[in-house]
Amino acid sequence: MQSKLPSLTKKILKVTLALAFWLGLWLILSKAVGIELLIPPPKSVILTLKQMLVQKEFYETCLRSFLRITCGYALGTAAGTAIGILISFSSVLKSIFKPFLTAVKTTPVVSFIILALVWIERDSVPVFITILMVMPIVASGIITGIESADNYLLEMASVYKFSFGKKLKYIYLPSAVPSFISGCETAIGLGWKAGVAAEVICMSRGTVGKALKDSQVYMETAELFAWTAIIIIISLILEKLLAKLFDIIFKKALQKGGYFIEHKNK
Amino acid sequence: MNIKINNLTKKYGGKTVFENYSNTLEINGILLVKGASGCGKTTLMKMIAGLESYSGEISVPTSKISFMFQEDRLIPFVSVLKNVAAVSDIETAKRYLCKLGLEKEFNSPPLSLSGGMRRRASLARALSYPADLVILDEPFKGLDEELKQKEVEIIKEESKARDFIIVTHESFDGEFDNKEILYL
Repeated sequence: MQSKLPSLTKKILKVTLALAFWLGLWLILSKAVGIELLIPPPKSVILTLKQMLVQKEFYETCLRSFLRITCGYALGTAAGTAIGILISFSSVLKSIFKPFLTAVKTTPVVSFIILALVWIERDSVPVFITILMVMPIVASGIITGIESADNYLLEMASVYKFSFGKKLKYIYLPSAVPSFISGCETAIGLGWKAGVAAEVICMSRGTVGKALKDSQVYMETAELFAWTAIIIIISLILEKLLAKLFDIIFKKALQKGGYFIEHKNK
Repeated sequence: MNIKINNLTKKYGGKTVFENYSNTLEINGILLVKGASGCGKTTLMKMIAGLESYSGEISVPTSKISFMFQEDRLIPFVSVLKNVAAVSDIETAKRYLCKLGLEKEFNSPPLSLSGGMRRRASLARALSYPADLVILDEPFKGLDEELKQKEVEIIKEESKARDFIIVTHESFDGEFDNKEILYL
């Protein structure tokens, strides 16, 4: 503990310094511009945040967005895992799905949001968009992992006539675990941001995105800043929380399966 | 067991390793394969095991072939016991690991073992596989004299029931009885 304390103090100091720098810059900018409607001072935003935090509606709004986007994230991860495994072992499926994954990855998210608004009901769009954003990242993680399976081990497996299931169990899946987890972790932040963007565009009722849009429409810039801060905070919490959750789940699952895999990305 | 090789040609890039090579490998228990480094010993073994493509003909009277590679090739994600049991069953795996002095390493991750231990685990895997022909590529690499002797004894015992091809740089003066030697 004693040896850790100086580094922890250093870290806190660094974060405080960075925070002070950006808050200072914000204050200077808002004073320089002088119009609260354009750049509200930090004090106004903090006061608005405080008011929001005591309202029940605020928590309901956050929870609604959180549940929808998490649902999209879970479905996207499941679909990405299935597609990733299928693509890795079938050249036919690879030629079918690879262009689709590339198209999804390169197309601006807003195009999909507008298209989804045409196709499905408004409140389902954020879930659909989150699935669409998460799926290719998770699938790519699986594909990369399986493709990186050790050729020496595969040759050994061929000598000892390993069945496909055995190859999957002993070589492919353990090889894919680190990049799969890395893909899942990357997808969390991206899925959340894309989900909120979808809520903003399709004005999904009682969501963070809708609240953000409302504050823009009613020119409540301080509220707009406050909601943006909330989005960033939830994104950070989600990333940390899910990363920790993955750490626990995979550590337990791997231990139970008798695997020795360095699953934590460093 | 006789392995017939007829007009075997194998090229790696621009280099010819074998050109119209014909031979009959007569194995009555143990065949030692010797030769200078890079002469194609491992390549020939891999062709016999069906791991390398070639032109010509190699006729092996069995498809049950076990192969201990020059590299250990142990699965790093599972324990030593699971590595060996993956090609046989738990009881057989335990028996061979014990024979080779690895009874305390059943649950160890392969990467935590010393080079000599990994070599022995790799040999245990090759021996526990129910094969008619066992190919061992440099099985004594990195072992001290005592362990080498122990391995020799185990292989001699095993060779009563099935055939072995051993690729090695080591000299065995009288260690293996009734052995044949192929010089490449």
